[in-house]
Amino acid sequence: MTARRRRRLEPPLAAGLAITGALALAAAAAPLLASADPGHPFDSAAGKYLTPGVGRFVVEFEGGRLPVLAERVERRDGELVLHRLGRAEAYPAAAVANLGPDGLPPRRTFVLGTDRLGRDLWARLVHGARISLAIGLLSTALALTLGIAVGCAAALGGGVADAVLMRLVDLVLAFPRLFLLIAVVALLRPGGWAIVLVLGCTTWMTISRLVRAEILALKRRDFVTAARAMGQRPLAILGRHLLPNAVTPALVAGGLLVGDVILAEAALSFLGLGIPDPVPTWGKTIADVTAGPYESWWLALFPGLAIALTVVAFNLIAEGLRDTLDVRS
Amino acid sequence: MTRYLLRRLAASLLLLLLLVSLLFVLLHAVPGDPLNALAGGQLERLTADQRARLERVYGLDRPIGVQYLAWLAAAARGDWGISISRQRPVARVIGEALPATVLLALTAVAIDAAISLPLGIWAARRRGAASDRLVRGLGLLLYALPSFWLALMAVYVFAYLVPIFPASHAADPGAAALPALERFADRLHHLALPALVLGVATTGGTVRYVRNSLLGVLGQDYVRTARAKGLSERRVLWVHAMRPALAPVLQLFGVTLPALLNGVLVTEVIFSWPGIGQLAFQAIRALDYPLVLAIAVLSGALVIAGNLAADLLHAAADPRVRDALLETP
Repeated sequence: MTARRRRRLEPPLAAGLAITGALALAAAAAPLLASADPGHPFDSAAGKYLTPGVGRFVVEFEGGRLPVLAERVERRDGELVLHRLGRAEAYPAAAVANLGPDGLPPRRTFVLGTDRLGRDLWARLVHGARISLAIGLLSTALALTLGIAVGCAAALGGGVADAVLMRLVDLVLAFPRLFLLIAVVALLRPGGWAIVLVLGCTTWMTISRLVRAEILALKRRDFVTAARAMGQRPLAILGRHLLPNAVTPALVAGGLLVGDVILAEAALSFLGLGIPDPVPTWGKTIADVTAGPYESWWLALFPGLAIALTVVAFNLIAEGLRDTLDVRS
Repeated sequence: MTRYLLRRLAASLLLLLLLVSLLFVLLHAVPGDPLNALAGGQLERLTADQRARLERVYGLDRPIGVQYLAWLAAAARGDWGISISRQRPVARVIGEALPATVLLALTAVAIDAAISLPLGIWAARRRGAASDRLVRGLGLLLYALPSFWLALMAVYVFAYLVPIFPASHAADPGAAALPALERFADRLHHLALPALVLGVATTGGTVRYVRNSLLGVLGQDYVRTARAKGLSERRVLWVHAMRPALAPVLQLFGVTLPALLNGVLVTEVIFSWPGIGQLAFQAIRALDYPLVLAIAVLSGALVIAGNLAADLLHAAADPRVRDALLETP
């Protein structure tokens, strides 16, 4: 039993948890935070490359015509005059579907601007958080499972099993990971789940090394010898004594790994090898800037900061965990 | 020592062979098979007869084991085959791209070392102070920012807003006709931005490593003894602590070679730098499997050699490590 003491959270751990909590909330509430469909262009002519903070009137029409954005809207006896693309277009007021109580369509501020197709960058970022977090956490969970399994097998199996497994670790480690990822992804063209699989299967090696070293050290400790002397079965010793103690460094490494995986996914997305459209990912949004004029700096700036914020948060959690748990032991 | 070296070399070669075999199988097991790449992605348009002829010319009609052995035997003789996408000998294509990558990578490592060493030492000497926290925070941020994002931002600022550097390629179009000195200046001008981006992007990890490594040494008994004997702090740091602290840093440059190669790949693609990284990316996308295999062997060999060199350097700089290496069976 661990003594239950009230302990102040380390500041980095608290900051990391706060940021990831906020990110997870934003990802979960994406449809509420950004009403716009992230893949849906508002107005592909008058709505593309809007700079952050620009406001536009969103005009929807009766009868399924695509909505348009207008810089200014005036009412002139029964008609609505929309100023867009340097022209004035007049429509009968009855044709406009979303008139408010003041007789004008709603105005919307594009906080982070829009991209080359007129899609709302804020919506793409908030929805992209789902992808980055999901891929980061799921791949890391897979890597942790694989790494702990291989580490345990190598440490307990010993001899040939140990040698073979550790050479396998060397083998996968000896390879520039991005190169391997690109090769596998470009050749197999996987969707989201397969990318999780590929990322998880190429990142478990450091964890298995840590777990193996930890178990080898623990095996010689007195309490393990005592458990063996008491006649406990090897699997029971593993589950009750070895794993709970060996898993701490693995969890810290896992925290660092989440950031690594998110960066790797972003790089794949950026190179055009990530999850296919229409799913919005942060890396893909950054790649959009290379397709357009350099003036559209916001398309790269904000998703880059979002990636950095997420990676920093998971690193802070890992560092905080390490400090907190070291104190206890 | 010689025996240790020979054994390490043999193990490295075996590792490389395994790596190559794995890739060969992977490349031949994927759905988009080499034949399709040969036919320019229009395999379904070929008649059965044309298809059979193509298979025979490239030896694809033989069993995969035979193909593998034939490729291995030829590769051992220095014959890496013909690149499918470029229709030229693979060895020559790689030979032309290699100098550009070596130039870029070495410059980046020099920039990384020039920034990380002083900053890391400074942070370690002021452990816990505001300057230490600042350096660590900056390091974490740089680690968390995707390198391709840094590259895009650098291009935006230094090639677009303040156009002092070219945004892409390794030379101006007419550079070949220039006199040697101007050609050299032109090359440096093109090298500056990608090398800076790559160098700065890798400092995030290096700074932290230098700081922690120096702190580890400064906490050791012999440093305390040196201080107790009344040596000046300056002498303790530069004479007694620096050598054992720099040894793992030397090792770091060998161990992080895969990370550097990842960075090289992305940077070369963004800056259209005519090196191995861009070549690898194009080869993978074109399913140019002779070229992909050759680049994989090259980068795998580099990483393995880097690891070996790192261990040897570490052993040369630190007698304790040397003894440990020689003792291990």
